[in-house]
Amino acid sequence: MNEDELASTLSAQIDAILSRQTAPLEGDFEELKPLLALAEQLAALDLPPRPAFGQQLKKSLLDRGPGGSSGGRLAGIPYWLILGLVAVLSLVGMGVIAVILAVTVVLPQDNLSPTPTAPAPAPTATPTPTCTPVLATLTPCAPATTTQIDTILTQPASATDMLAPQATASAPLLREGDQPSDDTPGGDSNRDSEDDDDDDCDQCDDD
Amino acid sequence: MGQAPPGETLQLDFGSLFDLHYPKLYRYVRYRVGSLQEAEDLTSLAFERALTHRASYDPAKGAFSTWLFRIAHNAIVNHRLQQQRRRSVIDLEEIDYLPSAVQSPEEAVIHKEALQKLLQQMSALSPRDQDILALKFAARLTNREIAEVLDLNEKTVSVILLRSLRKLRQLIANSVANL
Repeated sequence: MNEDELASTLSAQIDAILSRQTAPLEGDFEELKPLLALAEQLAALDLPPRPAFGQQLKKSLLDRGPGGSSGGRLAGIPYWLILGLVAVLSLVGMGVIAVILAVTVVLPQDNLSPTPTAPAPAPTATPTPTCTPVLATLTPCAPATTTQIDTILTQPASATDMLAPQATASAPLLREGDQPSDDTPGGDSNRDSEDDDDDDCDQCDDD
Repeated sequence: MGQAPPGETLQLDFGSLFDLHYPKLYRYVRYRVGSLQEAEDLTSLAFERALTHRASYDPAKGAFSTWLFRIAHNAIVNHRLQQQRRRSVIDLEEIDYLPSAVQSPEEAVIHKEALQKLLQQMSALSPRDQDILALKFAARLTNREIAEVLDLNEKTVSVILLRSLRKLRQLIANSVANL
């Protein structure tokens, strides 16, 4: 008898033992007898559950809803409630992260972005550095224009000839160190002409 | 076990199904894990998973009991992997229920010790052998049902059953010889 036939016969005998029936063992099955005795021991080995456990488990399963059809629970809390809480907490967390990012990254960048333009008004807010040199240049300009008027008076020329040396004459005149004088005629007019060259002069005077 | 009736998927009377399968399922788990507490935990886990995922049960693929026992089998396998060890001893105090043939306290103690040794020897078998013995003698499934649960051939189950009993008998004989 091969192993398959032996196994098939043994299974049939075991099924009979488990169903508390007796099946005739015909043929040469001497090897099976000790195995069937062992099978009887195993069949007698009963480890039934605690009665209370089964009742508790069934109750807990059926309490989840009609016919136990509702969703699962974790520590007595329905899954849908847990998922809802997780979703809300996630949104709150994302909001907090967004605020933190805004405070630490975005806002500093906003402060930095106007920085290149900020220095521009800064000098205007402090007119001293810009105005002072203008004043310094204007003040010596008075004698220069006065001298120029003298030149014009001595060498009459066309209007264009007069304008051309005005621009160039002012600088060398400054180098000469002539002092301006209010009594000099045309001094005011020279100042006016210098005012035309630099509009900041009015602001400087005001300052 | 048999095929599930049509429409069982959507209209599971879980209370009835529980009453029908719980004793067998518990015994199967109890044979496999040994500990009373572990057996209760894994039995609960199996039924909870079945309840939660019952929409995924397809009667066309097999009986509900096959599906349920497979869930329990997977839970046991995962439990074993988590433990990374095999419980080899069943506490004597946990064997509370004895066959009715045992009457006197002395006989009960002797029988408890015999059961403990038997289960100890069983734990020395391979997990597949233990599974088949537990499904056969604890859950009392037919070879065809065991084959469905473990995804094996029915003839293969009968051969494994034969070899498992041979091994177990040899283990018992060796333990007796070592005494």
